Amino acid sequence: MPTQETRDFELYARSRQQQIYRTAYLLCGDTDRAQDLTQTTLAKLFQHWRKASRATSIDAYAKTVLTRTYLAEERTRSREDALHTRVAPPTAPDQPDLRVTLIDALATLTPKSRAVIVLRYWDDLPIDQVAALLDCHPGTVKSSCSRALRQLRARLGEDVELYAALV
Amino acid sequence: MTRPSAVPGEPAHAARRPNRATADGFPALHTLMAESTEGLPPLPDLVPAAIVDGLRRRRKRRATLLATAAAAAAAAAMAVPALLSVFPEGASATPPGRAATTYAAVPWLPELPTLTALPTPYPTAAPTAGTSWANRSSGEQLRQQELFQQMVADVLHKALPDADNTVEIVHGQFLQFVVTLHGKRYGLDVSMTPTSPWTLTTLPACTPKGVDPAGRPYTCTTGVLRNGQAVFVRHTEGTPTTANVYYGGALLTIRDLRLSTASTDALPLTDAERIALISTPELLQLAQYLVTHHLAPGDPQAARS
Repeated sequence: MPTQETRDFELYARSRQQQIYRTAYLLCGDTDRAQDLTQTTLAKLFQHWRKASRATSIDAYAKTVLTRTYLAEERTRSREDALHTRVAPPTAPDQPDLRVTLIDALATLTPKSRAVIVLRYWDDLPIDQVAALLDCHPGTVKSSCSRALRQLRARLGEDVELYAALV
Repeated sequence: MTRPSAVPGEPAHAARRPNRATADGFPALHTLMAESTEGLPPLPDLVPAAIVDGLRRRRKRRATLLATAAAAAAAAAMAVPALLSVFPEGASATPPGRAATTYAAVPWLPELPTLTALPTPYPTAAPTAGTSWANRSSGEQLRQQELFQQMVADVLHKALPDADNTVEIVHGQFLQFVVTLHGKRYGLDVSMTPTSPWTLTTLPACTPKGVDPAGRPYTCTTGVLRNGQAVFVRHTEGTPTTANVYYGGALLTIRDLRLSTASTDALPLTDAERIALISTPELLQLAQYLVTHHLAPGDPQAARS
């Protein structure tokens, strides 16, 4: 017999898992890993559900958990990369070119810069909130953003603005 | 092609335009992100597995917390005997014939600046020759030094033999006392000197009998604290009897003090009693307190503070 706490969590998780999944995909660029990240985030959220449900915004809590889990995993991966040569996952044939291009461009950023870009431009968070979530100074977020945008623009080329205007 | 806002699971703000990407000069970015995540493979229901995983994480975390608490308790249980190990081996800190006192294993000293009342006021004896230490201290420091002397006097009163002993603080001389044992007055000088990090903090070997570099014969009795530190009681011909020990960054010395130039009386204590006296835990801790708080008159760091 599920408790009220579990029922509340189920209700929240079912309504948000797709959104968390998409953010996770933008962060890591791999569908399987995004699924794992989503499940880990939901598990951590359930682990601390009493605290999370008392938070001002459960969504913000979930974003914090997701981003920090991603960054922690990236740190572990970078340590592992120092020991092993990682093989890039094969690209799915049905992926449109544009998605591959954006995900490839995001992959050139550092994990933290990537998190900054996703939080700021996908989740549409203000600088202060991104800084609080990543536990760094707002100035660091601003400079990270500016550097990463420059890098993305250079990588995606000028056509991208034209494409965006058409959709 | 659908607008990003029409896609299920997209952030609620997605329909708003312009977004932050537009404001930051890269309007296409948000659109690209929405497009990139639009055709992702369908997500299975992750909630049941997340609940199972979350419950497992909760159990694991509770177990870790319990293990940490148990480890902390075990460490505390091991630390108590370790702290007690400074007590002298075999010999009691309390002289024979007196009720043994149990001392707490944790530092018992209160912070001197907050000490406002003393359990026993010890009177002052007549001044001896020399410049008063009080001239080198002032204000709050002087008050603390006076309180400190009272505390040392209290420790001496409890540790000395003869239940009827009295202790007086010599006026104008820091840590000098006049004690009355068996109805007779004796002088006692307690010295607590800080040791610098580069000096030897173990006493040199002391043979039971020998001749010092000045050619004076001496006898020496050795004791050991439980932490392995040596305690020496030395009788050198023509000089006052001394007991020495290094503890907590201080060299603690208890020396007989002549009350007048004509006096030759030494404290009527056996060497074992002198070792027990200087090994009194409170006295050792007071010595450590004095040097670590730079409370001694003339201490350059005390002058700066």
